[in-house]
Amino acid sequence: MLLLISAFQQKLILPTFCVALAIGIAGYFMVWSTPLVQGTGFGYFLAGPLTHYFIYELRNENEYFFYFNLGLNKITLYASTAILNLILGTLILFYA
Amino acid sequence: MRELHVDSVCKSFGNTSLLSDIYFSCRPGEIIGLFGRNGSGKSTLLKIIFGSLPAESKFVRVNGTIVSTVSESKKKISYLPQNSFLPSHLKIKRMIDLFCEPDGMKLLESNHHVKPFLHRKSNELSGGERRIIEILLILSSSAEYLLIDEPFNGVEPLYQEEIKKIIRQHSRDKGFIITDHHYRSVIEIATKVMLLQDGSLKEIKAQDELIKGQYLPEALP
Repeated sequence: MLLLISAFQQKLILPTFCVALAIGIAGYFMVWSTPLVQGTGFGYFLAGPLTHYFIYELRNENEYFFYFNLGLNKITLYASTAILNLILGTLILFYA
Repeated sequence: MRELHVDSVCKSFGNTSLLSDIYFSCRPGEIIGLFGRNGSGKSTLLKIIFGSLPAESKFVRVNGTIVSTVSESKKKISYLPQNSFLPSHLKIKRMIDLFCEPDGMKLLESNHHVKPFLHRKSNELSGGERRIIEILLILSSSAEYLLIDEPFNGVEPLYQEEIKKIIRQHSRDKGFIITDHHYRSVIEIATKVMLLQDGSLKEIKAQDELIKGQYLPEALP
């Protein structure tokens, strides 16, 4: 199951990083004046589910069937995205 | 009893009833050809059976076990959707490793349709090449019942023949429900033909009934 989830998440790694970094930069320059790394850490909490929705729900909805055929449902896949990005964001915040 | 039993399937979109009290069964060795006009609910029915689409009511039993979600369908029912479902970021070899049991993995990797593409990603393949790999992947799953939505769509005649051959080979120990508008190809391999019309399903015994059911035109080319 972990192998399947890692295959699913592989597609989201780079876009999520870009969105989280963009949130971090936006926070640093405009809105909250938070440090860049901390902003990026917080950005991961939002960027994960957002990127998941955009990439899988809007652009590649059919790819879900690959994972459905292997017994994973949407709730499990969304939960994996939320947990992974929560961990990543927390780690960044912790080490920042 | 080894059987996929589908009963009481009802589905509406808004005030429009698409499927009303659908029931049928499929046994290993059977190939059911499912016909119906565009928008009649063929794909919807397959998705409901598979568990990826909710319905107002449904009862699906596989070999005595009630199945209602995709998680419960695992290793019991596999579904090939209309459009390509192969993840575009993975190489074919990785997909096979994820999808198949070790025995099926070796068999599939040595298949002459698959071998040349093992180290390529799905978006580097043509539609026909992708479709045949998808079908082989679905067939190599351990599921006993396979729901196949438009396997011949956009596929050249040579590949269509190959797909028919592969489905026939696997039909000895698996049950198939196939829907496709290439009706001749479906009729050729089907052991039972059904027509979905006005929300209900009826068995077709002769091709004339497809004309009466307004699925085929009266003057066939």
